[in-house]
Amino acid sequence: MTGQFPFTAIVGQDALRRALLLVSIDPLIGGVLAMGDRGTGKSTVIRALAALLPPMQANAGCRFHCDPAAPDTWCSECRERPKKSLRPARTLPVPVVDLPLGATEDRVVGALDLEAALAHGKTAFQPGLLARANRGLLYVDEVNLLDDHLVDLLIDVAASGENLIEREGLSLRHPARFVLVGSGNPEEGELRPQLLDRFGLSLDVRTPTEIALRVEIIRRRDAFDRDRAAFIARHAEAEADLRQRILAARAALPATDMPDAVLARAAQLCVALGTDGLRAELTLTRAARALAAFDGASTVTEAHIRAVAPDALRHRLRRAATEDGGATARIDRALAEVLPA
Amino acid sequence: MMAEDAAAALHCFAAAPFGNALILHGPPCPARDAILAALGNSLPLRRLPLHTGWDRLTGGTDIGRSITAGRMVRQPGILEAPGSVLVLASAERWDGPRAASLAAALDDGGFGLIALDEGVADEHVPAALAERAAFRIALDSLAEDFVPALPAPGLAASAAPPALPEPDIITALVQAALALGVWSPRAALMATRVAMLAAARAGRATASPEDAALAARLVLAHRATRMPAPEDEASPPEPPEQPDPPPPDEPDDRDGQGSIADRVLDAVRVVLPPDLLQNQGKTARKAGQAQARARARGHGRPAGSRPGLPRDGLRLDLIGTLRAAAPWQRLRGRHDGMGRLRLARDDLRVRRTIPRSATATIFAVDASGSQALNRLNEAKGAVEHLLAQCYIRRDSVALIGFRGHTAETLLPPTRAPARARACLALMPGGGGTPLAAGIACARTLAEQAVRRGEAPLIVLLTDGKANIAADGSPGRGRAREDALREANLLRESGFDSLLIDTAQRRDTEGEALARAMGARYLALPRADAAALSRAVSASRG
Repeated sequence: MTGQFPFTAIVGQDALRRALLLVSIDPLIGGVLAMGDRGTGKSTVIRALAALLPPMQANAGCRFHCDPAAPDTWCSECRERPKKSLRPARTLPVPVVDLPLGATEDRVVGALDLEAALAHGKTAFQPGLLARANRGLLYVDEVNLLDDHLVDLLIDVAASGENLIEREGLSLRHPARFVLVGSGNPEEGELRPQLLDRFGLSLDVRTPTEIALRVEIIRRRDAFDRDRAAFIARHAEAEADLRQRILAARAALPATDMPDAVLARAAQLCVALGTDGLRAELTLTRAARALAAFDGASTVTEAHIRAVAPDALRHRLRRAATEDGGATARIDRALAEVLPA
Repeated sequence: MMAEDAAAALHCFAAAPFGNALILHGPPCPARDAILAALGNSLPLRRLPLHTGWDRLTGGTDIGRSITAGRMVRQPGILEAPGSVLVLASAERWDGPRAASLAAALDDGGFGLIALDEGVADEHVPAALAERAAFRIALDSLAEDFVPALPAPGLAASAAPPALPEPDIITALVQAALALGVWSPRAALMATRVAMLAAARAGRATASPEDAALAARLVLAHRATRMPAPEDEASPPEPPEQPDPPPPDEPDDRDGQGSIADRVLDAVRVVLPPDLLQNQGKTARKAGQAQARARARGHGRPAGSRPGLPRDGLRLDLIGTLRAAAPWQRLRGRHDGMGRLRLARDDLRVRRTIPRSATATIFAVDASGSQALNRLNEAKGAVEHLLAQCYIRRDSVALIGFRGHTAETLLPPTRAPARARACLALMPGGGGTPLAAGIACARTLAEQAVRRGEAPLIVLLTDGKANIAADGSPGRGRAREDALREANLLRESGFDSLLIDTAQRRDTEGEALARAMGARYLALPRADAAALSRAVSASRG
């Protein structure tokens, strides 16, 4: 059976949906971390996003689906091949790649192609999950339980956007720019601070406890299971509208104005919260700009900052396990002081 | 679970097996054989042994045949041919990626799953599969001669899910799920479907409240994470929002709905295990163990090579493979010295690794005034004795002292116990007892140890008389509260711990703290060297 549950048909999960939309408008915001109970439909939302996103263009025959419009990000293979052989560009859906917990390093990074080596005596590279995720989403469920050596890999690649392979007689590089999406149950473990830093936005995902909402979730899921094609067709128009809005926001992003006064407020907020480093401010302002572009506003306002601040800063506060209320309450208090509504 | 419920569950499973899963929990027994035989009559069962490889499930390169043939030979995966009901042997031992593949296959609706769960104590079916299992049958509750009555072959197993029941039944099941702390909407959806299947079994066109009650017993009871509130408090206490009132255009429905929900909950209450709450808080430990198992394959200290195919996380040992192939080259017809290497399947060697299993012992020593008066030296003596043991086992050790207002890592994890001994001798005493800070500090070090791949063991030496709160302010009441909260956090983290009570007179404070931490408890006055060694060894498991 094929077809994903449509993004626009999802009930609840507004915060997660908004965060995913923001990072698809501006991937530089970073990844999205969604921590919450099992069975809250996190993976449904993420897969739905992939089906929603506008398809992308890729160089012909490129295993890493390099972007024809951005030659400076190409893999070593595309650079060496004659320009002519890269055309015509292929149209591909945005890839969503699952990184399973028990994956081996070889499968993630890529490795020597054993078959080619043994059967044909050739040294060839077999791309791994990072290659497949290039320009798409890399989804790690239970990211807080991810094995340490895989975390190390992700930390490096997520920051540099490039996968370097220096092993087993191979030496090559390929782009690996992906939006890292992690989910997990916070009671089962915590993330290393370096990995936390790679996530631009973080959310606490809760299952809705409203009866009416939950009944609606059941109804829609049932309608979807019963006849996927008809269900998807019913929501096709809404999906197309949202897709257009994403494209429009992407186009409007560079021209969206960020007044100095708003920038100063964002900085004040970060100082008040004592966040580490500049990355908090960068993420906060980028997310606010993406939100403004999505709303069709030409200028970022304090309201945009206020709307994205909890998600952008929640995971960047110094941990104080014993403080009451947790990170969200602290951000709310700081917002009330620095940016009163 | 009563035999009638089990029979109903099996009937419903047989009627709509695809996309659904059934857990049969317990050791092999005549009842299990009877169930599998009966289901086998109407369903296309396919048994999967525990060692079924991940590539066998999802398909991949057949390495052996590829080498022989000199070209890629693909081996189709079991999950690429939908239409069967998979029977997982020893389901509690199936690990992450394979369980994830199976879960994805279930979601696509092409497969059904029967998990034979022989787990004892902390072993469970992987969460991804348990989440998708509508039914769980405890085999030990069934009589030996149990034989389920199932729908006749041919009539069974329709591909489409059953229709949804009436709105009030859906609402009642959703309410029941919330009251039982079953948060996953998937569970509620499965319960509504089972209610319709139960109705069909009874020959009804739509689900009655009895069917809803049965569905709740079958689907929701085994997932319950809390006892439903007593009947007079209809709304569940924990969720912040009150259950929504019914839509205003049907004001008369309220009583009807409430009563169905109550009946459903009553039905579940009967079958809830009395030890429900004791089973909570084990998830972290469980997950940690799964992680440790996942780690075990293909990682760790290299230890030579062995014959085998490089798959499922095993890495090829290239040199070993060449060495194995070399003597045979002449025999295999390579005479000219020019042709390429001729490899056979039997030549392949994979790297053997021994998983790291180092322990990090973290000592958190209470050096406060109440301790310093009399017991600090005894505590130091005890730690010193344990340090000698750690040295023998090549464990790493860390030392935390807490006194005054804060806890301090006196010695970060090291494999040089001599340094720990020196630190210990210099450790000053006096001041208040910031117990909460001490436990928090120990937990942080333990988390770091887990990240390094070590198994932490926390040894806390204290008299349990906390008088400094977590924020450094004095006051017994808050200090105790904070300490207990930190102790609970520690237990939830699932780290092994040992509390050595150094109180002059044995009282309940130390024991209460140990309980909160989930720690083994040992009172120092009676803990001579030998008892200490035994306790630490036992904690290491």
